[in-house]
Amino acid sequence: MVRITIDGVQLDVEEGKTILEVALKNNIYIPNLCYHPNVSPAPGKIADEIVYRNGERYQGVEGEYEGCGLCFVIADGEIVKACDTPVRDGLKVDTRDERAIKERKSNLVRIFATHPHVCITCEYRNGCDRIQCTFGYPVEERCCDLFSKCELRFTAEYIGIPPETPRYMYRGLPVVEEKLYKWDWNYCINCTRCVRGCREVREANALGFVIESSAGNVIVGRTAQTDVESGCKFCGVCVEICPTGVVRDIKKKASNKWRDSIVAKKLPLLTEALELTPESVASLPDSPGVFRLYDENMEVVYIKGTPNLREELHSEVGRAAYFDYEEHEMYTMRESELIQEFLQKHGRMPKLNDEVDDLFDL
Amino acid sequence: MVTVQESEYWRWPESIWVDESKNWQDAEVISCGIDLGSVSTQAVVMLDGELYAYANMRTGTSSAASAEKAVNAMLEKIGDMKRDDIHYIVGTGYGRVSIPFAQKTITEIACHGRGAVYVYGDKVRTVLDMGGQDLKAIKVDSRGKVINFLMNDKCAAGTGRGIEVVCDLLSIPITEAGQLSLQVDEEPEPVSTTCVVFAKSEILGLIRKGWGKERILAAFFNAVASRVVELLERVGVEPEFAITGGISKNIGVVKRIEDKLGLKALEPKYDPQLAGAIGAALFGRALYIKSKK
Repeated sequence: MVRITIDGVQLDVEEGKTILEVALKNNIYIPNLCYHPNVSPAPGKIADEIVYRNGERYQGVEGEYEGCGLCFVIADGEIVKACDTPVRDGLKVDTRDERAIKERKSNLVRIFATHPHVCITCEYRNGCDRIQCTFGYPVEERCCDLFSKCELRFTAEYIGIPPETPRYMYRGLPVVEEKLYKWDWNYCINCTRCVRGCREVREANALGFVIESSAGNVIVGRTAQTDVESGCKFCGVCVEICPTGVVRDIKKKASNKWRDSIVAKKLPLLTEALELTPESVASLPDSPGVFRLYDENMEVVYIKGTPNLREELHSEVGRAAYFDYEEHEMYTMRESELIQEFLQKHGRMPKLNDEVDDLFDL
Repeated sequence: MVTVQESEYWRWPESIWVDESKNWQDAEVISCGIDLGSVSTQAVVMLDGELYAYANMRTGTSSAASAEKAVNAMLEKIGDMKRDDIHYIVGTGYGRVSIPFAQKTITEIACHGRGAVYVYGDKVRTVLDMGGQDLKAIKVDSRGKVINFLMNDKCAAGTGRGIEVVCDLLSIPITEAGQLSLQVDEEPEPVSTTCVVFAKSEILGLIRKGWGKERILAAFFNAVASRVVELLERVGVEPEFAITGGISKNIGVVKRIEDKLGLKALEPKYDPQLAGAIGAALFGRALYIKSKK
């Protein structure tokens, strides 16, 4: 065990773990994207020579992937990647330092330059069926149908999308329909999570990445022209692990597990969660809004809108461990939106929202 | 002096009804459901879970007053029933928390699911609620419990309010628009957008081109139906399929949705605009029984 400090909180943590791992384990969120708990960290992975998208060949130069650059923190005064820096005794970490935040934002801008994001920045994003766009953005510029469970979106919302983010222009990259999977490379942010998933989880070598000589861009693709030639074992780990919407299981065989790995991955909360106690509730505004209750594992168990947050939450004390809230005039509408978001992510209602359940058979 | 008579073509008729064959004093549980929507408000009274009376009114500028008005109109029609005679009142809909005399409020999604099973029977699995300002596709089990839903409340395209605007523009009473839109020899291409603002200017363009009203309505309802079908397909349509809400009375829209889906919508046993309020009243009955146990 070693003793470290993160944002002023002293923690005794396991040696050999990275800053990101221990922070997440202790419920301190550091934004991250190319990190996934089931695979090794991305930075330093050596690029392949050639990859293919739809049979098209991409030749690369020697080099390594540096990572998505969203997990920057200050450790003992130095700016480092939290996913790639092991903890050591006495280490002082600051996750909220201006320098780190600036670095994260500039890397987010880089990612969004080549990934659709109008829906993520849209004021109407909740409560929109995303069939017809009120602002008239063409379909190719909008986000995909995984919007409600898009990890890139949640991470970006946490970091905050800088105003200098350029407009995304559709590049018409290959859309490949294989035997079992469909790849829409337009959604790829080249985080190499699928590459590491393929190699480390399934120990296949069907996916790889190259570094383009011209701009130093990373490009992920198949290691051969077709799925079979590349040695694909059709395990579906790429479908599970992708943080955006690139690869889909056409036969929907992975649909029961669909995105469970991402739901399980710790995502940022919209607002800070507070402990549900009479004291914390007493200081709430007595104004209209919506609140969510969480159990000990930080799982949402209840979503409700109310004309009086303080009064309503007071009566909820004892029903859950934590809560978060937002003030909102149109709280019945906002409540439906949040329930819709939860349903799409989990495929069921929050546990306590099923309270009318016993009213059906009376 | 000249007075200009301006008709309000969007105005749909309000209705109040009571089942004269029943005697409410015989009922064990009298429950009331109020669905306070953005455009219309429904109040129903159910006797032991059977529909007894309802009022279907326009929502005014005050939610509380609209709820009061609907309940009072219904009680007046019944004659000798007072609000205190009702055992349990449940509010639902967009303005559900502004009903001061409701004992409990329940989300419209839950109420529409439950109400749809009452209105259409327990075979219904997909409920499309076409409301005044939003669209909801709801999947339910045989008891009317919500399994999944998808809605759009950010955009009035293809909603009741959108249709009101178009009827006004074409000077056609809203109750006749559906039937009229079917009187075309050939189905025209849908208008390119169901956005209320853009559709308005597109329709003015069509009027200038000399299109007949029937053809314009057909093109607009065709676009509304396409949009709805996309929403339904995203949530997954399972037969049996039913439409609730005000637009379910527009044969022009319903027929086109059916054609596009290749599915026939179920025939309602009661006014499908009442589904939300009926669901609320049924929950009200259960809540009352539960409170007595």
